[in-house]
Amino acid sequence: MTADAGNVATSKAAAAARRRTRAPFVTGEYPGFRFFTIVFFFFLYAPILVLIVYSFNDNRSATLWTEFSIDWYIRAFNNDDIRRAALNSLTIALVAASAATVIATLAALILVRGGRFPGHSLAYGLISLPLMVPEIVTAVATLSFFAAIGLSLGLGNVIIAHTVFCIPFAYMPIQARLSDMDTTFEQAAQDLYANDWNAFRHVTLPLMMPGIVAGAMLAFIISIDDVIITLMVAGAGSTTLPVYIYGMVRMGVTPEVNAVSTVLLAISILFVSLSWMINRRR
Amino acid sequence: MTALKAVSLSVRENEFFTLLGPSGCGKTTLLRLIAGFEQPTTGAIWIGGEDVVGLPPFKRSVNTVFQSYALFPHLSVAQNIGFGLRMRGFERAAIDKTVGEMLELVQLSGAGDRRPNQLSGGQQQRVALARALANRPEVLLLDEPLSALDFKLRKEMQLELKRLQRETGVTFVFVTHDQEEALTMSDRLAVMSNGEVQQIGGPTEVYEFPANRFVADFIGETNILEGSVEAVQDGEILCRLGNDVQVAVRGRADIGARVSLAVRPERLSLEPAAELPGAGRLDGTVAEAIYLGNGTSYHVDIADGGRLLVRGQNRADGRMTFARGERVSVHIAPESIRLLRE
Repeated sequence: MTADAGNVATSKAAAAARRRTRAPFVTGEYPGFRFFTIVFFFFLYAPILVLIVYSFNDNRSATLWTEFSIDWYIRAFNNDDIRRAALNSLTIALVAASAATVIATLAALILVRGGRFPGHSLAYGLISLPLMVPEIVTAVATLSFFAAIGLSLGLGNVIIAHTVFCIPFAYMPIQARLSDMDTTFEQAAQDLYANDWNAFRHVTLPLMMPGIVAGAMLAFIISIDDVIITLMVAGAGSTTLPVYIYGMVRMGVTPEVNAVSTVLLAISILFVSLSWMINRRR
Repeated sequence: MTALKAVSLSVRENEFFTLLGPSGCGKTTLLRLIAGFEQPTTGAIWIGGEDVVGLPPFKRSVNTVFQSYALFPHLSVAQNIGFGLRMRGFERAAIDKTVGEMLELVQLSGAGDRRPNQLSGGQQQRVALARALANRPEVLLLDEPLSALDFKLRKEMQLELKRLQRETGVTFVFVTHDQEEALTMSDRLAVMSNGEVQQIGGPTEVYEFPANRFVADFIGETNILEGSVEAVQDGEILCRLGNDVQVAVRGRADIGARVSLAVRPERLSLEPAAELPGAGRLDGTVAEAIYLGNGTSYHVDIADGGRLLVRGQNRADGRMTFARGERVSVHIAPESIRLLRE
């Protein structure tokens, strides 16, 4: 009787052990999962693929394939409006991303390494809040704010607006990097005769660099992609590429739009890959 | 919260000095005070005739080997070692020369161009030492630097540290919680507990003449016997232990006082149970006999209560001298008994 009970207990334990060797929740083993995944990726990437393919189509139609050509690219490059818009986009993204990265780096240094101060949690919250505010609200608010204070710097207006909404995006990777960094490195620097500035320059900053570069890349992409805020804030001469594309689409999708969009996509992919590679190097 | 109470100690020039104590005893705080990472609320810290209280770490001629080594991952081994000299504005050539000497000193010549993460734990440890010693500090602080190494490597590095200290002539202040390590390496050591120094002395002094119960208990294994003082005469007291055993111990106490006496397991010896009780002898039964390789540890239950730990030699033929359950007499040499301050 007791021997039986013991046997049952042992076999139960053995069965439990066997079950534990399998991962508890293997999604891939459920029926339909593979199908769902394929559908998901199809809807995500098929439109983009179509856009790229038809940007090389030797035809005005966006649905009928005839022959390979790069005419639409040449035409887009020769379009003065597109060139001006592209130049604006680059200028705005470079200046805004740089400014946002500097501000985000300083913010991260103070919030992560500056010790506790009154309003610490509030500052932390306020920096990341813009990520959750609907963009259209920020856009309208920025527009009326600039109008109210009579700010009219042309491209400068757009740069200021972009800098502001890029800060939280630049801040996140920098903050994450800095929080992961052991303060012992800075103590070691100080111990080795580095004053505060030298410890920062030779140890803290180089160690933060992967985070800073990732933050700058992210800010650049966010800025160069933006439509809603730019649409509201940009004046006549400061149209950016996405806003210009938006304008073109309203006249109908032409392969020229496809070509410009493809270039924009290429720039985005380039930057995201670079930031991923830099982060992987730690 | 007070991490350190009134602590007063002086480390001699050219000395291997160890701060020994359990975690939370304040030894690391004391080290960080010397390094300048923390400032004392009161008191003074003198290094080579200068009160360094208030000076930041980079203005003290003290260098630290961190527990985690804290080697800069973005710099090469050579750049790590030369960091301190570079910060002090030395010429490139002078830095390169010192870095070369240091690499040789820690037997890592040829590894200068590597990154710290390409080195083994023991090698990283050597780089951390070289980085600190390159600055020729007056005092080198070592914060449990061997705790991350495995047993064999730790033994090796203990000797290596002793050699480096002798060759460089730098004063070493070493922090550890490992009493064996402290005894092996130190010229003198301070045993700390609860933010206070319990005893300062050489390894022999601290081991053989523990100042109080904490030191006796923390360093090595100890039997603590309770007794009452029966007579006092010129520097000696006569104590009665439990039953009819009387021992004479050096020290001072009042007649009738309860005292604690310490005796090391290796100072006790076992004999087959005697027919008649005699002076300095306790009768008991072997409760455990644990073979240790280089000796045997006996737990002996004493007839009138209490348990004694006895360390015996092993016989060359591999047979146990005393077996579990055997009746034995524990012989205590009076000169090996220490009176403890509470």
